[in-house]
Amino acid sequence: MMVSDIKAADPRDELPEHLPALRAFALSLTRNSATADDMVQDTIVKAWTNIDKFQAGTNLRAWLFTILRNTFYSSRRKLNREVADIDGVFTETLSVKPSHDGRLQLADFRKAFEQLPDEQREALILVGANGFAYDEAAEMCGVATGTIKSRVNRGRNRLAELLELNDDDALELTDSATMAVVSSNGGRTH
Amino acid sequence: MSDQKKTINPRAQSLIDDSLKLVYADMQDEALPDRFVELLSKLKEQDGQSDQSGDK
Repeated sequence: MMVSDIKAADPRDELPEHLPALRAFALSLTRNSATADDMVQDTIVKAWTNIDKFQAGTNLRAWLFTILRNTFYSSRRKLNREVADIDGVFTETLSVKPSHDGRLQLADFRKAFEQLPDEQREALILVGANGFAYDEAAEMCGVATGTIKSRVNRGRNRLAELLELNDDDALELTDSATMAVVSSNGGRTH
Repeated sequence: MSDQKKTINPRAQSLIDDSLKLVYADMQDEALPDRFVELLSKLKEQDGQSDQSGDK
C-alpha cells in the first residue's frame, strides 16, 4: 500500500453516532423538542463546516456538545429570556408534592429537574448523565472546575429539596415507568 | 454553610444520580427526526460536488 492510499479518518463520519446524545442534551437544555431539534440541526451544520477546527484525537462528543451549548446560550442571550416549554416535553410545573412515599417516581424527578436553573441542569447532564470529568465539563462550559462542582452540588441539593428526599426516608426507585426504562436498557444506565 | 459544602445523604445522592441517568437514557432512546440524516446526506453531497468542481 502506498502512503497516498492511507486516508485519515473523517470525524464527520462519526457524527451520526453522537446524534442521540446530542439531541438528549439539547432537550435537557431547552425543554422543548422543536427548539432542541433546531439546535441540533444548527450544531450539525456548524460542526460540518468547521470540522477543520476539530483536533483529531480529542473528544468529538465534547466538541459537539460545546457547539450546541454555545448555540443555546447565544440564542438565550438574543431572546433575553428563558426558552419556554411550549409543548411540555418535560411536563408542567411542579405543583404537587412528590408522590414517592418511599419511592421516587421518574415523572416527579423530571418535573423537579425542569425547575433547576439552566447552568445546574447542564452541569448535572454533562457530569452525572454523560460521565464527563469535572475538568472536561468546565472546559466545555468555559468556567473553572470548581464552578462546575458547585453547580452539580447545588443541583443535587435542590433536587433533594424538591423531591423531599429526607434522611429518614427509605427510598426506592421502583415505579412502573422507571422499571420499563430499566428493562428496556437491560439495566444499563450509561 | 455554602451550597458547595452542603451535602445530601449518599442514598439520596445515589437515587438522584440514577434517576438522572434513566431520564437521560430515555431521551436518548427517542426516535431521531429524519431531517438529521437527510441534512447529513445533503452536506455530504454538497461536499462531493465542490470536490468535483475543484478537481476540474
